[in-house]
Amino acid sequence: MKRKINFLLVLLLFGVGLVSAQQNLSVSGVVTDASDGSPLVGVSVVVKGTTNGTVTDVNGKYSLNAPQGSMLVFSYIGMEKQEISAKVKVINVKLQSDVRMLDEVVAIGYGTMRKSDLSGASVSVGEDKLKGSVITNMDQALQGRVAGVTAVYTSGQPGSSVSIRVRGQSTINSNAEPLYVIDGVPVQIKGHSGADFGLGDALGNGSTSTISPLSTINPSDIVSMEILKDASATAIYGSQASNGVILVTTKRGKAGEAKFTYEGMYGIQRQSKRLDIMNLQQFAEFSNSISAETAGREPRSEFLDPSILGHGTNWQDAIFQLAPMQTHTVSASGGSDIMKYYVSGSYMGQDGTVIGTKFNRYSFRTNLDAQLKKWLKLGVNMAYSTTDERLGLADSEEGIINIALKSTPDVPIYDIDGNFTGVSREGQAAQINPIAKALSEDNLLKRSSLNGNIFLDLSFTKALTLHSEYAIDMGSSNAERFLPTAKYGTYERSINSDSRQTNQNFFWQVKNYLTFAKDFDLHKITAMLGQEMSESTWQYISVSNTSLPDNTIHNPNLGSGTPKIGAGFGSGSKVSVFARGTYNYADKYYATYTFREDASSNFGPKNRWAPFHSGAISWRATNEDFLQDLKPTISNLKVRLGWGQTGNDNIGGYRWGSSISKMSTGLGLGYRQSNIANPYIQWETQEQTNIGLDLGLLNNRIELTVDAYDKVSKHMLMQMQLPSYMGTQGNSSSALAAPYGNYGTIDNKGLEFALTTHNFTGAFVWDTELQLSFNKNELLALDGTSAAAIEGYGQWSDVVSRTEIGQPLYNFFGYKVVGVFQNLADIKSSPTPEKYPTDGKSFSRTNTVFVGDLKFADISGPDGVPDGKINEYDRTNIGSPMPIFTFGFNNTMRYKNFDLNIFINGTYGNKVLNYTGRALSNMKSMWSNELAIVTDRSRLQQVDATLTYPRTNSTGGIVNNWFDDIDNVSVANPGTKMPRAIQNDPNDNARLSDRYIEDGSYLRIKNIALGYNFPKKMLTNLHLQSLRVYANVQNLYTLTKYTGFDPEIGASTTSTNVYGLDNGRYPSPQVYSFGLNLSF
Amino acid sequence: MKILNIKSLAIATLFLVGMTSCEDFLNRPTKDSYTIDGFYQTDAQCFQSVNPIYNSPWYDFQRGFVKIGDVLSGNIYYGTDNVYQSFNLKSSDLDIRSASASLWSVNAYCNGIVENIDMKTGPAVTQTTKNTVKGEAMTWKAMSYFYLVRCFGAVPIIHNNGAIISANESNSLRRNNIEDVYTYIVKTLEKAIELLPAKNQPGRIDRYSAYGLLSKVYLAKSGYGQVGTRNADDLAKAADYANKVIEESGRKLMSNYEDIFRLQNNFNEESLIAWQWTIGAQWTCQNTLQSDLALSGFTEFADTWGTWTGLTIDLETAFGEDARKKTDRVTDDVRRKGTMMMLGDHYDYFWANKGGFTYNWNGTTTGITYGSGTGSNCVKNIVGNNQDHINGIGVGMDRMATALSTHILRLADVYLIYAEAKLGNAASTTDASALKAFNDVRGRSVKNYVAKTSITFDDIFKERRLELAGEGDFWYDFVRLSYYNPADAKARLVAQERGYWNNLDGYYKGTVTDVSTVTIGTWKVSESNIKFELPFPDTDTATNPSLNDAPVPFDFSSIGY
Repeated sequence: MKRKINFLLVLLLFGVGLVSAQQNLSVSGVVTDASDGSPLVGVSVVVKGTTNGTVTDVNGKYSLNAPQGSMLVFSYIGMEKQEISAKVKVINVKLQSDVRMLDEVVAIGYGTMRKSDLSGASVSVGEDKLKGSVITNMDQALQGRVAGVTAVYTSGQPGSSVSIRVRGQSTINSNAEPLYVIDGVPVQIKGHSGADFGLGDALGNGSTSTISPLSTINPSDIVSMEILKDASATAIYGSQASNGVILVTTKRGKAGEAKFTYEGMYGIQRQSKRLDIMNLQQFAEFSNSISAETAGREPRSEFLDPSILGHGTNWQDAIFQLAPMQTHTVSASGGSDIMKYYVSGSYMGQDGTVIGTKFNRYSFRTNLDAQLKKWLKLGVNMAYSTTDERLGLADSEEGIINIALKSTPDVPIYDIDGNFTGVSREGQAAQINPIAKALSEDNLLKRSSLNGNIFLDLSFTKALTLHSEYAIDMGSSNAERFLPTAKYGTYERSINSDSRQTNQNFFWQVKNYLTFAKDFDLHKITAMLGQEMSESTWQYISVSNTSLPDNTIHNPNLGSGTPKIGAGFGSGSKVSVFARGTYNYADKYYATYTFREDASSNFGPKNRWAPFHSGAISWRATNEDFLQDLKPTISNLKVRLGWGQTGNDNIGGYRWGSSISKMSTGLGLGYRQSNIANPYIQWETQEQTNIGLDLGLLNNRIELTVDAYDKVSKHMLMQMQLPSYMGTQGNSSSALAAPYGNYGTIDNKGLEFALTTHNFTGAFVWDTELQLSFNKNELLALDGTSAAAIEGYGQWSDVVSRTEIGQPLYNFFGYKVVGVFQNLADIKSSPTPEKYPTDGKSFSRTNTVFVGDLKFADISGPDGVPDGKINEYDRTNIGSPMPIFTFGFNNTMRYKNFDLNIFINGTYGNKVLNYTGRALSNMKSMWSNELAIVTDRSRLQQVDATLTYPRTNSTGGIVNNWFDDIDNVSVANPGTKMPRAIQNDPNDNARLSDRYIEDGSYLRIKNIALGYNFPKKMLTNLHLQSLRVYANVQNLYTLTKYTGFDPEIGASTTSTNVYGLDNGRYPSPQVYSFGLNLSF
Repeated sequence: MKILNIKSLAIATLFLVGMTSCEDFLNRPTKDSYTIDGFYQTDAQCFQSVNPIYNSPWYDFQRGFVKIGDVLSGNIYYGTDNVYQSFNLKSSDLDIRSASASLWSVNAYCNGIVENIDMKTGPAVTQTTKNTVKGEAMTWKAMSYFYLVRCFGAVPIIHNNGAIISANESNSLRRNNIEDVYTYIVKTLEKAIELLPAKNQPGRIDRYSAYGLLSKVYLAKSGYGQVGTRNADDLAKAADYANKVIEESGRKLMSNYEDIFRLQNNFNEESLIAWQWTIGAQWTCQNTLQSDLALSGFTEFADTWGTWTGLTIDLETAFGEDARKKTDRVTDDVRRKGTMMMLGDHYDYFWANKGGFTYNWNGTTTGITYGSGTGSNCVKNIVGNNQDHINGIGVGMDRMATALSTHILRLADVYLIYAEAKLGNAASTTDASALKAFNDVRGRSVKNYVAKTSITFDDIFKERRLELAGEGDFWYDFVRLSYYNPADAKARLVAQERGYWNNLDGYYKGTVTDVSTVTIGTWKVSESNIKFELPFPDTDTATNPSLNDAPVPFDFSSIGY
């Protein structure tokens, strides 16, 4: 077979030579897109082996003279090339889109390149994948689609962000998110925590929040995304590239008659999982038991007989709702050779599955291209969007989900008058009714943004062009937090308060670059030299007041309290020069070199500028003559090697000096020093080495890409980690900030596999794509002593993670549980707990360690070896939140007009800290609900039941107080792993231990989509070009051992330096949707 | 070629625009606030730089202030499951962490102010201002170290934060000996006394504030390293410095005890050192103690949860109270009602706009939840409702925010220090000046008081408790005693009744009528649990394991005074 093909090829080549002597024929025709029959403009039609050719016009028409019988080559970007022999006068051609896209032209930053020519590691996500799942933000499309990219939904709240890590966490700063560049304009991601918007700690205390800066962008406008992974690919964005770069290209018009499209989707979301918490019967039994066993109290009178009680209030069902969502996008595109346009408008509305949350977005985009002169092209991109969100309170001990879980089943949602209930119980403030809280307290955020650019392309000669561009990004936000007056049972707030904050930011950027591209025979050379500068300015104003006349008009101006004013402003700037050269010899040998020098205003005068170099080489072996015989068995083999430096200045302004901030005091205005200056602060630099292999087998029916990398971030920008005695800890509003500087080194090593197979071609098409990403990170160095470490905190300041030198980032830090003390002998023969009586015998149920308490492992002591005592030295690494690998598995099937897509993704090997579960199983209080697993707690029994211990109880009765005699108690259910219930918890069974660390691995059927394209015949009558309907199920099923709502937990919103902590995270919903795409 | 010329011009212009005045373009210091180099230019600015030390860095200490000062010592009841009440303290305790962060933050700020006043002040700043501001900062520094040494024992002496960071020694510092910490505090206060004026603006620290603190430091120090008795020289110094305050400061005790703790008297003359809170836009500028301590429903902001935080039965007993009585409250010592509210008590100064607040328990008062296991709730550190706040200083309160000053060193304290220092190691004293100081304090609050003619250590110890209960101070009396007589200190703690009343709620509400069903749920702390040093926050010991090593002497040659 192979021989036959070779023979044919040879014949063809001869044929071309032979026919050249023949007569010319005038050929004309129309070139159309096989998928929708639309005319294709600008298709190159060339007589093979000559320079004789033309391009199709606006109507897809062409005509040229060709020697009769010669081969005409029709080629168009993104379409499969066709060769047709010129035998007749009219040749109409239908071009099929090239599904394999091997020679797709991709964005590489300051230019484009044929994908096959790339030497760096980068991945394309096309429109088909963007549309493959129900996404509301473009970052959501990256989940499981790209090897080397971890994408985790920070929340299941509408419009919330996805935390994306390209090749692992490479910096300790909260902002480890990649750089997004939309049509050449970097997206400005200023602080986006709740506090930054003026919502205080309503969205968590950390600097990460669920608010997505990308949710203002309509994903329907996107045609493709390029994820640049290794340094040789990202280096051109040097200064901001150390977390990876994602280049987003939006749709542009094609010449031709206007084409209108409508894309609509409607879906219903639901929360499919409920935690197993105690119902009323279980709770009553628990309450009675805990009051008797631990506090010596009488049972609550209403709980005297738990068996007659029902299930009580199901607070989980009450806070979750079925929530609709919909999106509608209308676009028009078209144009002429001179002028092309793409215009779109869209609306998205999504209610949240937790009551009281929703998200709306309106967005508009206009992209224009104009060929002003033969040598001058003008382009304008402009997008405006506005979003409107009602944010609930999640990810907090005071969040709706946590409050609902703790609310007891004996309290109804409404009292008999139909008002919300509220109960005050011992040891806690009046607990607000979670439904009332969700519906009445407002956390509102409105954002709008206008961004775009104007650019000119000047062609001096065919080889030399100048690109000159001015871009802007304007954004503003309005946030409001309103606490109404309210009375729910014993919970009363009789003064309301309202606070509002307006943020504005403006960014502009000017860039110019010259590109030279020329082929010298088999040598193809491109060179680019450019310059760029940008400035961003920001300001905010906030006003808040209390005692508004009523809850109807939310204007702080109406309040009669003491108004508070906040205001601030500032700016930052960057200047860069850059250059890139590429060389390609005969499509066999490739080389790229990139240089960039950046200056950032974030650094002091001496440290502003930093150079970044990178280079890559690659070899396409399959283009070597000696490997031609292996084709098509080995249809593509390319080896890539790259190395490069990138930088990071993402630390905020003026850390090189000390600023002073205002503090009101009882003595009048005060000013405090805000931070300890570090005049030496400089660029964080990252060096990355990448080795990659692209392999295509059986005529590219099997394509495999493998990349291995090692990237080291040096001079890592972070805050110096200081013990409390240096005075830099505590409340961030009062503490003197520790110096920011270059204090650490992190290494990320990884391996990525992307396997694409075309299992079936023909009438039934089945393609699969498998992505596997392994990443391992390690903190290599940290300033200070060898014991220096980075702590991460839970809700407030309890340490939950500790990153030590030589260890991966963000390991959970706590004790290891060995078991439950079965009896006194067990306690005596185990390492001594903290609350072991000093005399060795005065054991007390409420004051000392007791039977039924947890036995912790003796791991170390002050001298670094086990010392027979349980104390803080026994805390250790109890699990890494970082997955060993993440995967995505996509199946696409097509038969006739039907297509089916099944997408599965997941992670393996990561641990989750079930912080909510910890709060729901401490068994310290009889006044809040807990997980049903506490019914399996250690229960004490009397060993010798004949002994009696008469004691007068609180009501004067005599009870048998046997459970105070440690010599005579043992655990009745020895197999249990749960400790005893004890209000006082002297042994601190609730301390952070591996008891709360769970396996966060999961496999999720992320998406199933079934679509149908109506046949052309039917559509012509309706004057439609295409019509597609589809149904989609998202998050249908998740296979996991995790006992919380949702194992998909990324960067923590409660605190920086914590990952994978579930503190009442808003779970991702199931979405059932169907949609319609049509064009005419 | 014409086209090419245009193009060349275009490219040249664009590149020129891009490259002009790069360094100016890149220089972006903070613009919306001062920077350290532009500040300290006027007298007003210098005072403004020390103002925050009177509130915000102390904010994180508020909970520790109550829990260490009054819960650990058996004055305030936080529930028998509270780790402070039961001495189940661990190095990972969040309030210890916050207390530590706060106290060290005060020290760091004070070090910074002293350094900045020396290095950055402009020519317009007068020497008097420089001295006063440095003196205030140094007194605050001494105050924070005084808390630190009494809470944690041996601690590192941080004299210059910047120098330690530059030398990269911050994670390897050793602790310094307790006696050196006391010496450091004394030297710092002596220097502050040199710099401070005799009289300062209202609410600010003056020379006598520093004298008062120094007398308290000497009294504490006098027992350190001693067995059974105290160092006579230190006692004499404590008496001397206290006497200076009593005799020379011109300050007098306020006539009405309860007035000291009212908002309108934030700057009262009895207060020698106080945290000066306010209502403002910056979190940490405010007093939030009311939220932890006041009855649930006490304010309009749903921001109080102190219903189950009462005063201990032991303190009730010390005042002669018994919660089982529904009437006949102790009224002969006004401090009882000024410290704890109990059944039937009426307060004109709380809820004044509603005719005052009555602690009636039976639920007829709107919004209030009762539930204290001991039948009493806190009075100190509480302002009242929003209108009470307006009545006090003209502006309303805010959620978790009042402007009530916290007086952490009062003249009455100094009087009692004087009496105790004069008593010294004797069993009792009849020294006229000591008796006068003691009787002045007790006589102010006790009706028909018959002046004592002889006082013992126990008299003073108890008087200090009654006078200062709920002001975050009692624990340090135990620490002071433990220095030279730990057995006595422990015995006093073990003897305390830290429990609660069963059925009190039903009895007060009338659902239980028989008083005999109100029984005591007794709770005593076991001696083995008692420790007089709090554990260092574990995160510090993890980061710097040298903190576990034996403390070392401090090199005083470097401090410059």
